[in-house]
Amino acid sequence: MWRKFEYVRPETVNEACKIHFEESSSAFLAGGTDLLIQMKRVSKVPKLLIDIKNIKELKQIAIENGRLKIGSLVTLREIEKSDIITQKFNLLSTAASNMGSVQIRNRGTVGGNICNASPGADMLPPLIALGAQVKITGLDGSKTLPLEDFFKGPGETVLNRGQILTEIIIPESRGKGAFLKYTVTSVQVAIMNIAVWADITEDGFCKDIRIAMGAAGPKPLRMKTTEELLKDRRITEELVRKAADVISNEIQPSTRERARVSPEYRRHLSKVLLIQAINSVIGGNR
Amino acid sequence: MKFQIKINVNGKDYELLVEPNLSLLDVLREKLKLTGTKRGCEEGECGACTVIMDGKAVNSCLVLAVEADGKKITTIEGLEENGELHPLQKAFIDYHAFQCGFCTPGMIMTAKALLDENPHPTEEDIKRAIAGNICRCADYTNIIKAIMAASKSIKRI
Amino acid sequence: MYVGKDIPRIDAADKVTGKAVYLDDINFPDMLFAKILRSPYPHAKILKIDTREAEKLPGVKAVLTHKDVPKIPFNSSYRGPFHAYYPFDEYILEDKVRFIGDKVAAVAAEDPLIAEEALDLIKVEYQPLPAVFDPEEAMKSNGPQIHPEVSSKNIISEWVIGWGDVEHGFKEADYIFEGRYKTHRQAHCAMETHGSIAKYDLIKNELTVWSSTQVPFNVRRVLSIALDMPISKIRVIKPTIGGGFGGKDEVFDEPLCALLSKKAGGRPVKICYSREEEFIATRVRHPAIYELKTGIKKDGTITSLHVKAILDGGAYATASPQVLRVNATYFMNLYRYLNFKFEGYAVYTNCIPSGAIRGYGGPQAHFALETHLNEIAQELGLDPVEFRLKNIRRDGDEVPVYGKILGCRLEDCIKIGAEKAEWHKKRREKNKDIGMGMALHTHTTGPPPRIAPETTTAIVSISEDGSITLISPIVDVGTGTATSIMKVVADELSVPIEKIKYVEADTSSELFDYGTFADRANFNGCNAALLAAKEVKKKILQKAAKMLGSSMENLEIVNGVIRIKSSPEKRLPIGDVAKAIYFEERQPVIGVGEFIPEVNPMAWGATFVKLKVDRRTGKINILKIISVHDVTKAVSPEQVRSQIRGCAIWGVGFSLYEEVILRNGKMLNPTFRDYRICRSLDFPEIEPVIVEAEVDRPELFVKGVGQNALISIAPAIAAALYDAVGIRIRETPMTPEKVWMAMKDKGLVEEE
Repeated sequence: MWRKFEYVRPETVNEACKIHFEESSSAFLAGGTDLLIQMKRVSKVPKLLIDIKNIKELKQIAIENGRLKIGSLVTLREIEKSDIITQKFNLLSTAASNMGSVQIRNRGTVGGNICNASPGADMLPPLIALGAQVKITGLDGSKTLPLEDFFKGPGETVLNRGQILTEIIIPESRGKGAFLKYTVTSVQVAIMNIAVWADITEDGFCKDIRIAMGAAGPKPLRMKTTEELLKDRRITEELVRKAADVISNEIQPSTRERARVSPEYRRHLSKVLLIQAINSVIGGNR
Repeated sequence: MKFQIKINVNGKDYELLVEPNLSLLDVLREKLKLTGTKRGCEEGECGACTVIMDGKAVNSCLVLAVEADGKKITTIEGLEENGELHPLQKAFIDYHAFQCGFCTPGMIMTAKALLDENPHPTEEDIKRAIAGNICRCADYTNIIKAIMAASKSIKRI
Repeated sequence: MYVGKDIPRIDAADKVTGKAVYLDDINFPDMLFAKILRSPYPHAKILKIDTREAEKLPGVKAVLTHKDVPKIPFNSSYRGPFHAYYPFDEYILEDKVRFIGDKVAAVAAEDPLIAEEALDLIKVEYQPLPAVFDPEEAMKSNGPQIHPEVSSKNIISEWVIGWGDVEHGFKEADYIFEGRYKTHRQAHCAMETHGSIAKYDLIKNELTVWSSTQVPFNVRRVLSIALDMPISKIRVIKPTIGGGFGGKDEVFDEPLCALLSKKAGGRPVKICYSREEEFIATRVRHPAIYELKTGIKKDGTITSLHVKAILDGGAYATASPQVLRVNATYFMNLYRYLNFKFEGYAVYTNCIPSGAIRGYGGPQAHFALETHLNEIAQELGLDPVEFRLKNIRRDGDEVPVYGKILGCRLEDCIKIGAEKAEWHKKRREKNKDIGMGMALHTHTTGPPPRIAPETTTAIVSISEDGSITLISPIVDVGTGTATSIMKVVADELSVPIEKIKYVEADTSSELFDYGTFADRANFNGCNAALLAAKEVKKKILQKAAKMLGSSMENLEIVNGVIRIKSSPEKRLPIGDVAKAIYFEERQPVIGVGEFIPEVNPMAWGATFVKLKVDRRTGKINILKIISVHDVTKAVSPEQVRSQIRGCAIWGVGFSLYEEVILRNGKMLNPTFRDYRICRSLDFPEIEPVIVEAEVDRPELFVKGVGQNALISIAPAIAAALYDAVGIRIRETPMTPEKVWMAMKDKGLVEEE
């Protein structure tokens, strides 16, 4: 049961942005698997929900000039099942396939997962590791920025009133990836997750690497110091162990009372996840 | 403001006037009196309210009634045909795949969506498919057996 | 014979088609919906409460605060005068709140949303009071007093019991072991939340209540006390229930619902809890602290066991006094000790009230006792299985509360389990990070006889066409009890089960029953129905003997037809005989069964667990559970196996995952998102093993199996954990982080 709100279902991005801009107490409704739950827990709800699911242009998965474009309304289930994605960017489909239940994945969208800006959201590390850009459209046109710059803090993004996330663009890049999620029981939100995308040669030389972690700080984090240590080096067991030490200091674990594990344990987990993720990428190379 | 919606539930068309803050679950249970779909957590976590909407299993507690406009919905009440139980329903009886029964309608609907998409699931496929449906009486063994048996009997048809 | 055979349950078709009617599926055209305003403070006095704005909201039909309810104290778990030691510390509403989630006010309105909006309009001025959340703190005399009217030092109940002289026993021992063990809060999480509907007839002064409850007669009794109404004016009806697990073992908002209906001019009022309310405002498993001291001889004889127990009862007493007493029995019943003493306290804190929950204190007590004994065996280099075989209770032993032990097959359970687990062979093979552990359990079948009375009734009647009606007050909480009871009647009367109609009696039938808890339903239900069936059978056979010109002894019933054994062609269908009794003898064809058990057929069992520890994360991966149970006779074997598997999973959840996390009384994880429940993907391999006994009348000894499997899981896991990596965890739940910390202290952690 929700408190009362109004509802509107625009057909175009422009219309949606306009309504959002004009009504200060409004929210975009995509899959609703985060928003509608949050709205049940509070007595104050937005005055107006703008259901964007009728905007057809936001539902495409396509390869254009080597770049993968995912519309923000593409569901997690579609990402899980997409042939293009499972073949080329399996870390993305792996991440999607481990989120919530089938019922949630049938409704939840990639755009929603991004805009909800939960620090542990499973889609974020793989997208960041893949160097994803996001396209933001507003009344005054569109702009594109790296996904890792999209977040300001827990639940906070750079989006302004009247702006909508329309598309996720993944550039063409050589490499292989891995995504790992640590939970205690299934279907749960990640206690921690990691995505690694790396271009490692047959003989173990790391030409390029991007590492992103979730639930490792107030927002999904790109682990640049750790990346630098590994980049342009031959990946040895010793180097990976060193990288693990570095990543455990690079994360910014929450000390909030609500946090389910201690910062100390989280730092340890970051090591375990990194080692496992790199081994998985190298293993995939062999 | 109220919205006029058209939904097809279990093959029957309905035109309804709904408030935006009603869920599909509210409409099924309160307006259409289809109380087989259960209210378990209303947060999309337990799966007791699972129905099939345009071929996909969804938590009806997390779908606004207005969002269901124009959709085709199947609930547990829509599975029997000409007084015959659906193979899944029969298998749930034969394999003692329920106890208190509160999760059963949602569990069967999730299983149906799975078999519609993947008629020959492995045990792992079944486990993954029903992971969104909590059974607190908790004998998943018999539920998995029942779904497996139903998948085989459907194949014969 | 139906007993021992699996057949479809009578509720099967309704449950797989969505036709089964649960509380929230009941609707009346003029029904109102109620919501409850709950306290944000763990302990506070309500100074002012202003409901005027709420009452003005269109659609609001009744608002209640403490000013509107009778000032009559009650205990929501009260089962009768034998519960004289139950504090009456609750009111329907009060000017004081004692936990976050406690009731402050209630609103009934035309729809649930209006009721919810009205709650926002109620203005409450609280005076926060000092609160206490730790039971050991609470027992200190100078802290906050939660119920000074009925307790001192926040003690709900105290229970000391034992035999011999423990101090003397310690002197005789070769070794002394001591350990402190702690367990945590677990939630029931029935898929159907609590709910009730009340309809108060103002003209006749009668009350009808529909409640999702395990105990309709108890609900009626407490309603009668709380509302000061005669029992005859109250009817309590239980629809299909979506899981109870002890959480629906007492009264919740039925009295409040009744008063709302009364205030709203007699319109029916429905209350259904949200999932969050279910978590924060119902009941939880008692967190417990145990200090155990054991004296033991070199040959493994236990000379002395001294148990000190503190149970955190939370903000209201409810069933705490009984949970405490039953707690002592677990320690007393499982092993022989030369000297024994149990000193226990149930204590008030400003936390969610603790109450009955599957296992009824068993998982807590067994975690302490069985972990302690496993530690002793490990320290002394004794095989835990052999150590137990030396000390377990056996037939003929006399124990306090339960009396003489009869029909105990615990030894067989241990031996069968050990064989299935290949205990002696596998324990010698050491695989890295893999360990095996075992533990025993005992549980009751019905309330402990010297603490609580026990009885139930049933009626079997045969109509003129031979169809049979079985009326039983037993509440089937979803375990299939009704079907089992029908089987016993079908077998006794030798009729096809399809001929039997089962009527679940509500309180208006006056077939008194205590309700479904303590695994009493199957045992009592089957036996009362058996007695009723025997009585009606006698009537039928007497008449048939006359009609066929034979003696009763020479008659038999086969498939619903009575015939002379020596000349089976001389026969009469049961219906013809019944018809003759009705119209010739002008008598009803009815049998009444009143069952008063002579003994409590205590249940016994053993758990063997094999697991693997992930040294990187501390995560425990259960590889296999073998759960062995002495049931005497499985009336419905697959239902028994289902109970064992489902209950074992509760044990895994309790041991590893599930925890109601409170910070200063506030629950941090009141959703299925954050409260970890085993789902299909978290279900390990579980092998249920049923151990039956050859006895003449097995139904007289059908033992409960609904709560048992979970009890010995945690200590078996703790033992396997030690076997795998050499760490001891004495506090549940054994979360990955806790295991990791313990491994870290010993330098056992790995990163890759």
